[in-house]
Amino acid sequence: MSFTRLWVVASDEFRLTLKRPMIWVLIAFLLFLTYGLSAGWVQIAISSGDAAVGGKKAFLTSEFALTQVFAVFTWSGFIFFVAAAAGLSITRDDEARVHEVLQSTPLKASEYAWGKFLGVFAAFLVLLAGMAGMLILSLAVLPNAEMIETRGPFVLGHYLKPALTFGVPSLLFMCATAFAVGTGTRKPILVFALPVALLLFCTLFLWSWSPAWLSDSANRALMFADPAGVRWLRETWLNVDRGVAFYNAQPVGYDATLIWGRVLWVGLSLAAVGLSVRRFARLARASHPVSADLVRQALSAPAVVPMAHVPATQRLPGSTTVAAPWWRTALLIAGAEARELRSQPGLYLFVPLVLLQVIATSMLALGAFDTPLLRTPGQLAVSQMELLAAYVTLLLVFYAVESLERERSTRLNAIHDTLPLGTGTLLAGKALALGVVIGVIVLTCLAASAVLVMIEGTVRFTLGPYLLLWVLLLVPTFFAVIAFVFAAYGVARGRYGAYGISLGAIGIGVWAGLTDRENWVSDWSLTSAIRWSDISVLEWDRPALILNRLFWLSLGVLFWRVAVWLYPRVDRDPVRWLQGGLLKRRWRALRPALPFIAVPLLLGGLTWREVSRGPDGARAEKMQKDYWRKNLATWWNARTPWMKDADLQVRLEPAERLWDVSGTFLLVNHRDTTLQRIPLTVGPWRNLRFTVDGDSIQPDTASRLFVFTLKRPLAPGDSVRLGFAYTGQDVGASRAGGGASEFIVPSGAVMAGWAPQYFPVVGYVPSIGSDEDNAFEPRDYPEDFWQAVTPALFGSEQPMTVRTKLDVPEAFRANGVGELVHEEVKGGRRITEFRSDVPVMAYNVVAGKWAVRKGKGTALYYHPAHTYNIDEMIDAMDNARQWYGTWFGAFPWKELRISEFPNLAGYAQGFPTNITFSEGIGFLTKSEPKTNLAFMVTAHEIAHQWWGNMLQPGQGPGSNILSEGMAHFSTAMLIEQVKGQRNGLEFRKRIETQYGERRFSDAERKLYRVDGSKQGDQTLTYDKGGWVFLMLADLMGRENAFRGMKEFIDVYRGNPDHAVLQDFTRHMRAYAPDTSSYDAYVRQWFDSVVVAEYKVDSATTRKREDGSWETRALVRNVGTAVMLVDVAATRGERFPDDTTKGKEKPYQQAVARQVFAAGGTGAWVTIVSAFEPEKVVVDPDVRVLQLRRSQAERAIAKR
Amino acid sequence: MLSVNSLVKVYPGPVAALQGVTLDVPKGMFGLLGPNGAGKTTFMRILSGVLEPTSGSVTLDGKDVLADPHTLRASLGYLPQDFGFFPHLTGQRMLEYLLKLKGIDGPSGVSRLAAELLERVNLAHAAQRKVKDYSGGMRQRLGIAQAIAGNPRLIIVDEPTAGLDPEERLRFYRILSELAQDRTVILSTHIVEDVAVLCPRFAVIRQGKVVALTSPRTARESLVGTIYEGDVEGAMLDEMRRTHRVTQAILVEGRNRVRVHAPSGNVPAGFEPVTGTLEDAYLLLMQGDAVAVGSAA
Repeated sequence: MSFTRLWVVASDEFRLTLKRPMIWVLIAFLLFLTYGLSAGWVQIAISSGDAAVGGKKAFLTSEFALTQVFAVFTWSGFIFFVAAAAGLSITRDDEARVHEVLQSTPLKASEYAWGKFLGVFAAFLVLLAGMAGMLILSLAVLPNAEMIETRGPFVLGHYLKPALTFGVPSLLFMCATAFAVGTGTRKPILVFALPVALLLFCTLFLWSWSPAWLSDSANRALMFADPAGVRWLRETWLNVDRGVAFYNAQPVGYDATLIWGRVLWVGLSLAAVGLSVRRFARLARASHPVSADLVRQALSAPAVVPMAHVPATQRLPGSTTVAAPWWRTALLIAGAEARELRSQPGLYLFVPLVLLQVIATSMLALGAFDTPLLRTPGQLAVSQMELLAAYVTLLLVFYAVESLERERSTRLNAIHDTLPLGTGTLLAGKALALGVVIGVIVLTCLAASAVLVMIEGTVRFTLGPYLLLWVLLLVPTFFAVIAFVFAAYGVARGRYGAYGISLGAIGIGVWAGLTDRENWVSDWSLTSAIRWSDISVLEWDRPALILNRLFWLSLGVLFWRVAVWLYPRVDRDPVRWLQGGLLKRRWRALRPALPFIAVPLLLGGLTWREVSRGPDGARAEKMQKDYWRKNLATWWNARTPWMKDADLQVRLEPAERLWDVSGTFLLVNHRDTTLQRIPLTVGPWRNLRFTVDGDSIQPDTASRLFVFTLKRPLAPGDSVRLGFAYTGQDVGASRAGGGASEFIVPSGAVMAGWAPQYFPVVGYVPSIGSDEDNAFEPRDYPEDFWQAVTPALFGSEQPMTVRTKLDVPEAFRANGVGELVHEEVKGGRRITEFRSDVPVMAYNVVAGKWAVRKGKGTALYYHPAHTYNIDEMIDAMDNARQWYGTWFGAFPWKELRISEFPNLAGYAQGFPTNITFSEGIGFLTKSEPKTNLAFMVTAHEIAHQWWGNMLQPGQGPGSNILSEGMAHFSTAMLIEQVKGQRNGLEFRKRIETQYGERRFSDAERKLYRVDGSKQGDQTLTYDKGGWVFLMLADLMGRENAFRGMKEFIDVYRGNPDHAVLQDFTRHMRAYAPDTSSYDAYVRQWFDSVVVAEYKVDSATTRKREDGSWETRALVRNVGTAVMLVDVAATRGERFPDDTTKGKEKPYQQAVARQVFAAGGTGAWVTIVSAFEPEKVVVDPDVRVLQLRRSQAERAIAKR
Repeated sequence: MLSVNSLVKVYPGPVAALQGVTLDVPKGMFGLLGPNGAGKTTFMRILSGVLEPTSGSVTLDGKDVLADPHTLRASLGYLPQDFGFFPHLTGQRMLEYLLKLKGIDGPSGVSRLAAELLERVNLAHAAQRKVKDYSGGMRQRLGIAQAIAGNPRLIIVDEPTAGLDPEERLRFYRILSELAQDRTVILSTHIVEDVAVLCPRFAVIRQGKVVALTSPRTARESLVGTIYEGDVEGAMLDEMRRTHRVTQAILVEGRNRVRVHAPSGNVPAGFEPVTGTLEDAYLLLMQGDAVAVGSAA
């Protein structure tokens, strides 16, 4: 190899690459990214830290932040440009037909190919260095003044180290794979498809897929398999938050996985280049290996007929010419095109990629508390629909362009363009062939879905949802995409322009989706618009959905018309267009297209109208803004009377989404001043009529706030009965589909009384008309806020009695709050009456076509097909009712009901006696004997009957922990009580893991101050809250704890001063056997932020003379909590699984109990056991909340 | 009758590839002769409906083919100068595909018809080979096969004999001459022999303009007694070009064999009178002497 010649080629390619216009685009893109990073609107770095003013901020200049920047930017920013430059470097010369000339020079093929590769690679190395320079400039030299808190000290190594370890190998990999693919196949489509495939694979799977059950070895393998190193960085350092101080100051520690991973990818990349160079060199000399047989065969072949005897006449064979029907010609073209597409290797890359993503998505379906969901055909079809639309769209862009380009690239167009076939027929044939490709992908995904459902074996596989969603709904999308790409090709009259227009349009769509600008008109792929419900199949926003599909279908037809019009079959003359009569000419050309424009305009307009008159539309928005503007000053914080009793008659017509309500509210003035006027917030209902104590009244209105001026002012203690009647109907569509938290659809209804969507609300509702622009800052509560009277967190201020009479079509059942006192079916209507004389804080109505399973004072109303978890749920209901009643006080109603509602929202709400569960909660939970997840979610929601209803928390930080944390505590206790120790430990570990993974250590506040406003507050409220109560119960003794909790509910039930967390800890102190340890515990876990983290550094054992074993272990607490904790020497498997059952040694454990000081100082523990132990485990019974439990055990070495 | 009226084509640049070409092409064989870059291919592409002219009109039997290219396509057999095929198809399959797209069928089916056509162009032996393995001449013959299939009313062939060996050229001449008996065949070429052999009428196009419209016989007859041939020393050739109208100067066995046009009797010493050829006429036209060859343009 001559290095001089290599240098000539490489330096030429280097210069050529840097001169390409696309490099300027890349430089602009990098400037945009680095400036955006500096300005704060591009966020890629460490997410730890505090968003609050004055809070600790993660530095953008830390090694961790810059490592992530280099790892992700190099990959996602460079990949398209690298692929185009490296992948096409040889193909371009090929197309320019310079190879033969080059081969006639002394330049060797290998010198040429290596030179090309090195030239491109070197050019991108320069650009990578440029990116580092831009980062230094924007973060260190000219930092954005507004983001100064995110700037740490300048350390050159922070830029160089990640650039070398992450940036360079990633660039090399991208260059090498693109070069190998481009040189090996000479197919631009593969070169362009490669970065898309890699990027999707990495972002949607490799960098993000990390379920809790993934083993460490599998995770390591995936880190190894990531050529970008991003997974390693996230899984090793970033996913479990270590706090801003750590990220800002510490270097990124590399381990063997990363180092060998980088070495491996560099080696593989160079090998890929080497192999492709070798192949190129071999083919350049056309030295195909030919067998001796082939040579013999060729030499023995008959000679070509000699040409000397040309016949005197050359009469041509007879033939007829009859124009074939267009469809037959289209089928003919489709057949030829499909054969060509079949030979495209891209298809064999894309289909497995789509399949992989589809399967991964199906595995990830999660319900409440991250419980896995059963795989139902509908859920799978919807979850895969979005991916399918995205992938097939991308595939269509590439394949449609290449399909149109085929005649040009083979130069058949010179003949083909003159054939007597219509352009529409030609395009139809190509579209049909693309349809075959789509069909293959869809069928493959369908087969994968069927296999997944069948493997699970719980739900029956049906085709219906797939036909509905993938065929009926997605066909307009795919048609519109194909037609759009065809039209783009017509406009651009070439491959690259068509790619640019099509990918640009997709980019705009993605931007609209990410910035929440999508609506029913613009949503061409139905991204996130569809929620599947077995109960309510596409009922939500159905008119908008139909209009949207018709709109995009008609737009597809318009694009098609444009494509046929502009398809570059005839080389148009621009001068002819600019000659006289331009306007007339344009109009003449446009006129036949008018119907094609008019139909989408009409359908788009109708869709827009649906959105406009819907709940998110301009009309509703104006109404809400008016309500806020006109009433805020007068009525916010105005005193209102107590609603002591509600009496409602509700007639539902689900098919028409209509409801008629009449009723009364008994309002009592519980204030110390006279009330002259009573405000009532109502919705956009019609036929509104009001009475006061039976007399008709016309209230003053100010945009949905009706103000009743009483003839007789309401003196303290006086009451008035306010009557109302109205008709409501849900009209229009939501902005972009998806679902709703409350609704009436033809298959059921969920209506809550705490917002004026379906029922009037006494007083002004501050959340109406409030958005980002006019929202108030959250109230800053002083430390002693709880000592004053705290109003209720949600629902009414004081409890009320409720009666609801529900009138629904006979096929429906309806449930309300309280006990069922009457039910009759008459004239095709079912009338039920519920009554709660026990005061409640909130009421609701739920209706559906259900089957019913009755338990012991419990009833489960469920969709007849959702029988999978009914036994487990009713078991949870019965046990919860019994044990919670024993622990926290008797349940005061005869029956406790759970009613299933369509999956238009994914929550459960625990109204008194009348709990509503979405399909995905419990009913479709994937529950196994080890986890009992259906039992778990049911137990949690039923716990809210006590913690949330009977005890209504007050407003203020920490109070919601009394609802959600106590519900988790109750669930843990119930699981342990009913399902045994193993399931109890599993639940504790589950919520401990969630806390470990989701907490943000710098944003974490003491439980007293958690108000849901910061990142990580949810896990503090649910998981840490539940754990802290569990440890408290252990500390106090369970009997003491239950007694205290029961009496706590009694004290605060119906109390105008609603309970907050400080009330709880103060109350419980009286039940603690040791108040000093109780106080210390409360200080640690409620009034400060601590967490334990144990490490076993050493563990040895020896046999003593008396035959017993003495085990010594060095245990360190590297966390901050100081707890009395068990350290056990154990032998055998405690909970053997099915594979080891019967073969295992009996489990034995010996325990020592000790306190380990925080801060990492180690302490020795000595444990004496009668058996030879195998390992040392800190906290074997999972009694202390800790991080990284897996490091709190160690196998014992023999002394 | 194919009528071309005031056809102008200006490419961005601007380059005027055609500068008002007007022609009437009756049934039979019609040649379009011209040097490289004269505008022949532009003219042929406009006639075949794949290129829009800047101005002008083209009618076939009175129908405006520019306004409705589909009318033309149904009766067109077109062999472009530069073309290709789907490389992965065999010659037989490729031809069948194109025949089907043209709506052409044979009495024994399209496969048989394709096979017979391949036989006519001497490709029967390679019918089952993939097109990517064809030589340039074989591809040209496959192109000819598709162009002549199905009795098209108008056949346009652009440089059809490029890449053909003499025998194949002869075969092609025969095919074209038979086809031209009852239809219009337009042959574009820069090879004078093609026109001399095939075309009763032809036009010469130069720098986008028709500089001659004549027949080979007329062109030759107009040169009777005006062409002389002799040997010239190499050093004297330039001097000869200055003093006489040299039509051709070719090397024969190492000697400069020079032909001059001398209608006025200014014959160089040692030169003998010879019969004028179509090539002499063409080359005179290229030198701008339309009158000399009896052109009607």
